[in-house]
Amino acid sequence: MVQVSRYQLILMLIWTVLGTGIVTMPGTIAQFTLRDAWVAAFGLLLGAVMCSLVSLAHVRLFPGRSLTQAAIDVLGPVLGRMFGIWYLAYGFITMATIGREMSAFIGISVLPNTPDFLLSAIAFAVSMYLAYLGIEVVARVNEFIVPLAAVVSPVLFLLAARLFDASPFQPLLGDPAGAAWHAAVVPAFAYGLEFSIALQWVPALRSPRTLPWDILIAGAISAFVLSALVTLTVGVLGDPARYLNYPVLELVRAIRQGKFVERLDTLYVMGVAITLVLKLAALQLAVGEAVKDVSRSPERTWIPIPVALLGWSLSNYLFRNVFDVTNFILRDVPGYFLLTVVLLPGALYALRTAQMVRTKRPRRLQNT
Amino acid sequence: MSLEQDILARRAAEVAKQIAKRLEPCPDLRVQPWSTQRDTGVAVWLEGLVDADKLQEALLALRDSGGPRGRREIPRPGVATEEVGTLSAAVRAVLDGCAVIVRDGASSAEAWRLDRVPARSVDRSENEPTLHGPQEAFIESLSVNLAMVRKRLKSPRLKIETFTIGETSPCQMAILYEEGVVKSDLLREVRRRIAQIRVDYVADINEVREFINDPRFSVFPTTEETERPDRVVAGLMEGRVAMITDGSPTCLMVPVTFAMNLSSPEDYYMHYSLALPLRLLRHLMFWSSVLLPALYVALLTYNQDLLPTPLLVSVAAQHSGIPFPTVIEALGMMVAFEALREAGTRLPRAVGQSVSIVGTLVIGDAAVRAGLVSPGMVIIVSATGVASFTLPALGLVQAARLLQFPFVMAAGLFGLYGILMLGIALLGRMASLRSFGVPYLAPVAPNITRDMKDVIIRAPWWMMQGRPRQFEPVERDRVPRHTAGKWRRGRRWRP
Amino acid sequence: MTSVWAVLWAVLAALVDFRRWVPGSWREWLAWFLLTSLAIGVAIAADLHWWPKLGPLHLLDLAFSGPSAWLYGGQGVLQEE
Repeated sequence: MVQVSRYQLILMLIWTVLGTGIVTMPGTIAQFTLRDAWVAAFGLLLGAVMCSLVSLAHVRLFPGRSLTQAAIDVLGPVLGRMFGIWYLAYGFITMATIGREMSAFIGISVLPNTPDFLLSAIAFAVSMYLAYLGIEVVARVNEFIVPLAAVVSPVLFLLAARLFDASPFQPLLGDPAGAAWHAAVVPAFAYGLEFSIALQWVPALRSPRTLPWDILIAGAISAFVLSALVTLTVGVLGDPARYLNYPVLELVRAIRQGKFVERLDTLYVMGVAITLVLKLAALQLAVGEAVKDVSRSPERTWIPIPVALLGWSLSNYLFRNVFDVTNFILRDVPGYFLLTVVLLPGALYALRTAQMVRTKRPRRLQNT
Repeated sequence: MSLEQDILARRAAEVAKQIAKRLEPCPDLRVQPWSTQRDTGVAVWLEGLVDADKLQEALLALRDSGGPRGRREIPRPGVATEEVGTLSAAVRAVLDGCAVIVRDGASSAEAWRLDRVPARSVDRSENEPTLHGPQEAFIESLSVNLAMVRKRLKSPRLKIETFTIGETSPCQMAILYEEGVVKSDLLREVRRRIAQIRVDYVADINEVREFINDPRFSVFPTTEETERPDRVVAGLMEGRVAMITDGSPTCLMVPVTFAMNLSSPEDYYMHYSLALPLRLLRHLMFWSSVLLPALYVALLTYNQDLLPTPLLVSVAAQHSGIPFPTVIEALGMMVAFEALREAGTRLPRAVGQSVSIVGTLVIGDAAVRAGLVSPGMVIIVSATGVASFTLPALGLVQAARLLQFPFVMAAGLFGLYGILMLGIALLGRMASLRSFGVPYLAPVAPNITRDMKDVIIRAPWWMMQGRPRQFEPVERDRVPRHTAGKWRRGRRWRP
Repeated sequence: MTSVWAVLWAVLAALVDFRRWVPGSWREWLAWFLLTSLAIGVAIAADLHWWPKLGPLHLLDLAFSGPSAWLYGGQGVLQEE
């Protein structure tokens, strides 16, 4: 019996959201506001709250069932599978986005002469292997890297904090509220809603009842970390942060300590690569669960290869460059994710409640 | 073999002939007639396996002994005896080092345990040396090894179960555990796996290990091997199970975790504050022994920007003029180093040392002077070797030796990114391993906070009142709680 | 008697574990075939630089740029870049 503890779940969720979050979110936030960037990062919490509410309804109505299983339960085999396929499309597109973000990021920063598709192929292969080993293993790998991250990130934070300048934030909350909201949309609806992939892991959780709380905890921690990172980035880089694709990378490049500690950006890129692979693995687990439900298969060991293969080829096909990815995240993802992981499941739960009310009513009449 | 053939003949001389026929040709088989006032018979034994002096004394005592005529059993002259009712049992007893005493007219014989199996004496531990603490090590005799454990663990709850494995040459094997501490599922699983072993003979406990191992083809050791009785006793008290076979000086213990492979008995025999830096060093050295050459290749080939400029200039200058790409140079040096290490192990000790010195100093220096390898590479490869020597578990050393090669190749192909990707896959593999149900990376992943006090740090003994939770012991506390309080307050004893 | 090929096969099967990769039932085969052929098709399309005028991203953009813009609180926000 596979069981993932609460601690492991929270870590998986944090890495899942921050994996790409620390690469792209500071950049997208800085496009809209610098002064209020630190507040905008808390948009992530809004997404977490939405996911938490959805999961609250889910674990009450469908204890021990994944989202796609719940859809089949409510809508029947045909419509339920169509929802499953819609969810699969969402999963594959998200995976492709992450894969493309990763290959572009690694390609630009560390391996400029290696073709991007090769870089993403390796990442997909490794994450496929992790997904093949199962959710328990992915959870443990997440757990294992925590001590490393706990040592390395504060050091980077402190080293960068020496260059911090508070003037870009003054006057405090000086930008119009609209700008802060625009900046918060991507953290809230593109990244915050990624917490919902935990719904696909429900069958493997040790205590599914606490899922809403766990999502909130993970959301709060991620939002806090992101806010600290964005604050640091804007404080160190100042106005140029607005025009950079990867401001955090520039932040790490700015760190210099004497003659020996310099150019730590490669180390940062490697750290990000770890979290990206873990994020890919976590997504493949969720998608794999959906494939399993849609194909009504009792086994999940055959699933990772075709899933990773399709995710990889889509990542090369859908997005020709980083601009395509950023554009997609900014223009389409908020609406797309809101529909797929909040509105559609919400409708599903409403339907379920209606079904339950309908089945209960005649019984009550019988009793009276 | 039919049942009739397996019955002992009524005449003693006939029995001796039956046994001899089974063992023929067998020049070391000895048959000696004996008689008392009432009985006659023969004694059959293998020379060299039986203590001849004791046997003659026992036969004399037998001759002198009296007793009413017609008594069924042979008088026992103060030795351990066992009844053997069949011819095969008699043959097995002879092969086992017993003298088989057959009486005319009796339907069964007796095996007298007078064995004097050649064995070495108890010696210092060669493979797991420590500066402090007990020094003695197991030998190749099961009974001596069991006695060494008993000597240290004078607990009535120490239970020893014996099994016989080996179809052609039966070998005694014992499992040891502390009743009331060990989890019953673990014990059941150990028994089940041992029952499935099918071999003709057991040369070493490694055969048992390969049969009962969780992952069939993993390079990581998922059983702990030790030759130190003190380590075995410590393991038993944690709720683990030990296995010893006759003829092997090594004891197997299960379950084991990755972190335990990096702790040495020494950590427990010296001041606890010293264990932290030493264990940190060992963890660092394990990853160095796997990754150091790969990191060097990656830094020189792809990620030069990570090196500070003066260092990069120096390393690059060293490498100029070397006719091979860095990755080939690294692989060549690593193979050469492994060859030297293997030569040093296989050769007689005195010669082995000189080969290592000649190899590292003379050949290494000559290769650098000839411009075949860069001095930096020699330093890196030897540092990797030194790093692997710091690991207390031999199994982990072998794993590191094997793993460094794929990492160098990954570094040659994709630099740091390649190392990282292979590293995550390896971590996934390690996280998926289990040793008799216990996750291999416990107590880090899955996180068992209580057990973290004996992973990187070693808490002082008065803080380790609980047994490691990862083995799910039945009795979670080492000493009952009401007495433990006194120990916990022990710090107040100071004047 | 186990042949050496059987041993090598067993080692390979344990390391790569490919026997468990293979789908079992016809439903699994169907899903596997669909996903894999789609992956290969998409890979070929990417290699041949075959991007139709109305690709999947365009469709998503048509469907969701409106709702997303609404989330931003107005149509004009994203046009600024």
